[in-house]
Amino acid sequence: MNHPPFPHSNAQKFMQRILALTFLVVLLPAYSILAQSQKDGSIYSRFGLGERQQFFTSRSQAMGGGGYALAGIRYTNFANPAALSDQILTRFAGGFSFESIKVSAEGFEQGTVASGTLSAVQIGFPLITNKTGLGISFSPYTRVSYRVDSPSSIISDPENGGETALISRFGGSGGIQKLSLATGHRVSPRISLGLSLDYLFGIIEESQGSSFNSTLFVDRTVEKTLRLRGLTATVGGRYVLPGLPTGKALVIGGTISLPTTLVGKRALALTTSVGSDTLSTTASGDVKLPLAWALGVAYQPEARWTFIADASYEGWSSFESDFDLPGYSASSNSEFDNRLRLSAGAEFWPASGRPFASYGSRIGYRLGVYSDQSYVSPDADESIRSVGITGGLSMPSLIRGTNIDLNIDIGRRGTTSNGLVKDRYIRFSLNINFGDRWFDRQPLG
Amino acid sequence: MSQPRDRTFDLMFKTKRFFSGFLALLSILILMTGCDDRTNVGIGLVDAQTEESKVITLSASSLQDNGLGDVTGGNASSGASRALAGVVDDPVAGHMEAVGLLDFVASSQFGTSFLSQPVTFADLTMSIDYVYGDTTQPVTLEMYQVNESWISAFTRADTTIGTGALVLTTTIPAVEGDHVVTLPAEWVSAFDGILRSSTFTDDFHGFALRATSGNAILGVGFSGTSLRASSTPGDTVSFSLSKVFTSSSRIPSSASSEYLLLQDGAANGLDVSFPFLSEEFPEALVHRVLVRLNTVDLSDLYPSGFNRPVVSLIGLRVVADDDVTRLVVEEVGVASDGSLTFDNTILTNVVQSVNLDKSSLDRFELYLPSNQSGVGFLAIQFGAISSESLPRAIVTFTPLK
Repeated sequence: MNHPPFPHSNAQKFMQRILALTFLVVLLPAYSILAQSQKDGSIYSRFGLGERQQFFTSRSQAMGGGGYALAGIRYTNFANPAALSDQILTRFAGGFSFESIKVSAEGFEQGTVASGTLSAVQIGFPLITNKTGLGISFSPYTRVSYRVDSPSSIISDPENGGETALISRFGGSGGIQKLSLATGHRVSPRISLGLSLDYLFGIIEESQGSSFNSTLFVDRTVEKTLRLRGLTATVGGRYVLPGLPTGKALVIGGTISLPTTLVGKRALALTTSVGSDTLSTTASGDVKLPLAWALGVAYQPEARWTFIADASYEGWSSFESDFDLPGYSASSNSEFDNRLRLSAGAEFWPASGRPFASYGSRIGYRLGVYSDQSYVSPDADESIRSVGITGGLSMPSLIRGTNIDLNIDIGRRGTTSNGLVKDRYIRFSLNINFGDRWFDRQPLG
Repeated sequence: MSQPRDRTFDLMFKTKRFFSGFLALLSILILMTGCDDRTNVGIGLVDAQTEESKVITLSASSLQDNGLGDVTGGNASSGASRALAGVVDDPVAGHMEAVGLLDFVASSQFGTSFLSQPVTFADLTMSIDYVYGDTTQPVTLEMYQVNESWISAFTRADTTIGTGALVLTTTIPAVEGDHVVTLPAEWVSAFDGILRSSTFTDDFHGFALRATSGNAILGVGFSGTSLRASSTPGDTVSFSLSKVFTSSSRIPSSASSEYLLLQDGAANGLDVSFPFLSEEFPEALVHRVLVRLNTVDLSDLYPSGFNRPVVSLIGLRVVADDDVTRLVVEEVGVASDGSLTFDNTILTNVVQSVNLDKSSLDRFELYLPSNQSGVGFLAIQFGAISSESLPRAIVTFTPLK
């Protein structure tokens, strides 16, 4: 019989469940507000299908963003479906991140933009404790979030002269979301395998318009809406290498995500101050996403320390789309770059294995670095690379089994050469991770 | 029993405090989103893929008579002002001839004495409120009986309505003012029964006025024009003008290579088209469209004493490809520099639809509003003087990319 790590009273369980459900009720509407109203992210999110996002757990987020070989029962690790075999408790997890970007071009700072977004909403639970687990995750796959205003003036009646001020407005929002249903199974003490079915769907909206400082003009905005949906799958495996002394562990893990075709529909709408009008019949087409693979290694020299190193690759050079996208022309031979992401990180739990240690000792400390070469660039001769350092604190809450994680990510993206811009960003993430026993059979008598 | 309850309350309190703290942090994050100054942030990357707003001038690709007669029929409430009658040789427009039709309706209650006694006297007061042509010589008009019912509403100038017998001939000075003619006793006798009938409106169809000499076209206006009938021993009934129509024709003088005439009364409208589907006007957001035309001042070609009432309003309307549906864009006056400029959101929206291939626009049509009820004209410049003097559309747009 498995013993729960914490003794739970019925009242505590009840409150914890109420808290978890309320968390979800609050989280999803808040996400929709943030996702739909905010357009203050990086201008690089304008290109392609948007800025590629990945969030597996708040733990891996603070350790550079990898974690394909990470094992542990404190988090439901969606980086590798094989890791779902680790589960003992039912877990709810989710959170937000806030991003502030200072943008510079040609040696000058252009301004600062800030936005918020959902990191993920996840639930995982064991089917067979610490052997077979199941999880559902909802997280962004790409994100489009930008807004640019360009003031200028125009002489609209050349015969009579007179300048009129105008503002050209460009914006984009939305992105592709990923809803994953994953399962992992420990086939032997050293080998775990997993499978994830990933439903990709979402709406990418672009807008372009002009506003004039005169009632003689009609302010108009054209909005392009691209709806995409499709299914893909990810298989993963994890292997604990033998031969290490007791207390040490070396794990390798990897995943392969299959290429897939998203079906899409694009519509154009013209909006003015008095209404909106669909411009053309909806265009249908396909968007082919590439094969992706990832490899990771995790080393635990002792219970308090964990080190990871990861690499992931997405073959975007084989990307095809029937729709023109910013930075991609369906009619020409333009193509994206392959995406390569490298990361490494470390975690330190001073009180690992000592549940009654002081509160400060029970905080987890994490650090990581990463390099991410984007799949899309506004300039075919320049790759857009992000490099950054990450860190985080995992704080136990007053409710047993529940952690609050505060993460930070400081980095830069892009270059100021060739007319591009450099983003210097800082991201703060607030994640919450509930753990509870939900499906225990109550002993009779 | 109290200890577990205390623990439960304690846990609830802690949970509430924890959750409140989490929501506070979440609220702070949401409030922190935004931008201190988004102007131009990343504009370089957008500019490379988009184009700025532009202004282009599209000269008219065609301007021509559309052969459509002006609406000259109507009544006071439909906007018609008068019927025209006369003949004029215009130095620019050529020979013009107008035949005016007048119909009447009883404007007062018939008295008992009027109904009981035969009509012995009738006259017609014509209020001349419009003179086009040579004012130095009078105009001789023949007045005919109209024997058949006719419809005035929306009737165009090229419609022919048959007339009956000659009632009288009268000569009228080519000046504005009232002119009274006494109807012949034979006519009075013949129409006695109709004049006193309660079905006068149905049985009486009016008069037609046709010029036989003179060099002017006269307008008989609604206000002040009436038919009067008196019975013995002296009860008079007035019949006011109820509807009018002008049938007109024109033998144009030699066509000018510099202008086309937009003429009222006998007028034909002018069709004008612009190359909105040209390469220099790609798919775009259309923000403003001006349609501008230049008129030609031809006053030097007229002798002294030749009166030409000014055409005060010119209209532009959209004609759909079914050749029936029309949408009035705007009616504007001629500016002091002789130009006409149509500039409103209807025009902008129509061109936007054309640009996005969502319009059934066939052409634009220049017209003179029917309530002017004259024969004046405007000479619209359309020669090869310069491209700047051609009818033109000035379009402010932002190309889509």
